[in-house]
Amino acid sequence: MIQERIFPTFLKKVTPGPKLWLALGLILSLILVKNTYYAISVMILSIVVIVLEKQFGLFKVILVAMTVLFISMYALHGCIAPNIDKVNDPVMFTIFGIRYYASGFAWATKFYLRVGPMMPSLFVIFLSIDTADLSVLMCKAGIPYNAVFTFIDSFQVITLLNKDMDQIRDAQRSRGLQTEGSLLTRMKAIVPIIVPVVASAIVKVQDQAIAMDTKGFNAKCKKTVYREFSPYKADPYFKWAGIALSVFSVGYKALVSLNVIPAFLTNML
Amino acid sequence: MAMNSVDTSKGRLRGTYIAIMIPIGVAINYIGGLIASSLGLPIYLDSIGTVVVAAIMGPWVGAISGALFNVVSALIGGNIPSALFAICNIGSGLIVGFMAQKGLFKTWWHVVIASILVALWNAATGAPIAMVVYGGIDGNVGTNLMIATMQSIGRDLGSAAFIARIPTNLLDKGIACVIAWIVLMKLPENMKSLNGAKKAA
Amino acid sequence: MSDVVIKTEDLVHVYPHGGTRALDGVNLEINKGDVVSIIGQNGSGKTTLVRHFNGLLRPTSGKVYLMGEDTQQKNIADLSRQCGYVFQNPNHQIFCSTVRDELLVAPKNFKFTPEQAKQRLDAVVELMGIGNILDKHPMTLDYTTKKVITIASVLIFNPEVLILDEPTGGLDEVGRRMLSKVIQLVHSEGHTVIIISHDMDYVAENSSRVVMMAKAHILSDSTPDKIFLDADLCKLAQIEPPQISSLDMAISGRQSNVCLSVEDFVKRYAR
Repeated sequence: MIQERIFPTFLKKVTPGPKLWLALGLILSLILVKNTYYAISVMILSIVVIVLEKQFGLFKVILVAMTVLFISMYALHGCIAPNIDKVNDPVMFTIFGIRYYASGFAWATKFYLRVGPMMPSLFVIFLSIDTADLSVLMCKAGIPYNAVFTFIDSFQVITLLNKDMDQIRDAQRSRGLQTEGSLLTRMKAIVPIIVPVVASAIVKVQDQAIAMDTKGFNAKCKKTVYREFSPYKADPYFKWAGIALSVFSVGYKALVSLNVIPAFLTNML
Repeated sequence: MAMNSVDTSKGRLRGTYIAIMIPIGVAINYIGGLIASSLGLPIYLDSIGTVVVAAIMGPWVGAISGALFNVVSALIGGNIPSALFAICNIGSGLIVGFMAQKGLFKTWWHVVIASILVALWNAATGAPIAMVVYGGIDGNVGTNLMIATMQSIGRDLGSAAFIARIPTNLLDKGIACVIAWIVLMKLPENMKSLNGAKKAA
Repeated sequence: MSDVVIKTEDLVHVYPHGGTRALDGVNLEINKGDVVSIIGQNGSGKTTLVRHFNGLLRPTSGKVYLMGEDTQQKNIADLSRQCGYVFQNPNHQIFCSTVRDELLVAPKNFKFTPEQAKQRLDAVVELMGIGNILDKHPMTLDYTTKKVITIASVLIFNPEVLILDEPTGGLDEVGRRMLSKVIQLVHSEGHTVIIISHDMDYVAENSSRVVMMAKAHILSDSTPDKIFLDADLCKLAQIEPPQISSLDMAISGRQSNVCLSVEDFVKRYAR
């Protein structure tokens, strides 16, 4: 959600409300309707959208996390998943004497295809939402202003402290702090970097609290919202797609749980 | 006017302090993780902010700050189910916050006890959450190797996930508690406690 | 070359995020004992340039030499031992509970013996006049005093080159005078001082040489009076000359030997 509005790409033009509906629909559908083809399609489509939105540079960190998770889950679950029956289950292959079971592979797929597609799809949706727009949306939804401020400010403060941390690390290195070398050397570098980060944040708290109060932060009257969203032609499609996905997913899961319909869509291998 | 004689954290400014300190706790957790990874350390250090805020502002504010960190991380990474790990951070904030309120976060022994309690809580709650979210194996390579080792000697995945998390949490959360305590030691008196309760240190 | 403490050859620096070309083929030589001010608008490349001197930034292409050695062959700690850098914001450096501990951070990092550390501590405390606050918590002190402490915490390890990034920012008059005294003393001991500043009055009064930068290039490298006399150059770099120099030029219309300080002006006109 911390991004610069330099290029008004398609997703950035869509107002935040419909995007959040779509995000909800994706979350519910991926968790409740466990369909391999749907999950893989979401993952591929999300990555395509990320490339089109020119966010692949930022996405690389998420991609590394997805890859590490993929390797960890598939490598280990195939051998030690709790659903493995080591006597009866078919073995996909054996390597260095360790057996890799098909049921373990299915177990890994069940969980990875829930989380894996969610990461790129929600990443690109949330990255396209401006924090100021989000705060307006939350206020209009009736969430108390103090809570909205606290939530949104978290994103802002992360960026500010990150910049401070870079400056502080450089300042300490300029006084001879070693940040490379043995594990012990690097561990010793934590305190000289983190103490000024925390202290410089807390030093500002008292002044910031007074400044906020003098600008009416604690005023009991209703807050005025100056920012209005410009509706975009794609808004209704996002919104109704999200609502449809959400209703379908919840309804499908309820009916399957109650044995009213068989699980005809669920096919996690 | 000496700053430490003005307890502006009480009364109507307390809400403002809370609104400012919670995001700072979230940001310090995030930055702690960045510092650890930039130094190439095999730990997360993503609880320092929760502990610092809990010690300064009290257990509930610390708990909210910790939970919000997990929610924000889940939103930034797109991994929504991982927000469930907020339960771990809530416990960390409550444990340290209540200890600090009772004056039990001052000495090395207090920090050791806090670290053990926080590590046990994180292991006990992290294991079932990892089972629900990831089926037992998450992206933490060290923990996963320990789980695999324990499984190979006959443990089931659930108990292996819990036992494997004890040493990793003792190391990670223990170091985070120690660092947070050192940070608090180095702060001047007027910054150490903004909740009017007993000073953290 | 033996008198040259810092040298850059076709130095180029492109920031990886965003691809900003912050330095575009900069060639500079700074000699031992110089008091050099580097001036220019925000984004001209001043800070990027000086951060190459102690290895905080590495060249994208080109070379940087400190005391005759290529900076790419040494780590930041080793370079910092010879090239001390005082950052603009003192809150970014302070992390100890007492001023004394804060001053002793660098000597510990650079493995001074206890005797060496004590000797340097006593020297710096006397120079900066901070003997009465050694046991105080640095974070409780006012901004000027914190700035004094950060300068002291770098002077204590006696670097050959001292870089001051916006040293006068937030300083009161006492602090400015103390800073001038420090620069004069360091200069008299044969060390080199590099100042990055937007305070043209201070630059004019305290520098023997001014390097003017704009848009990743060095526009001019000369004495303060020649730099500030060139109105076109100042306009290009969006720099306002010191007020006293502008007043002198307006009154006398002179094209050389312009006043750089109030004292010079009074001497010239109070007859």
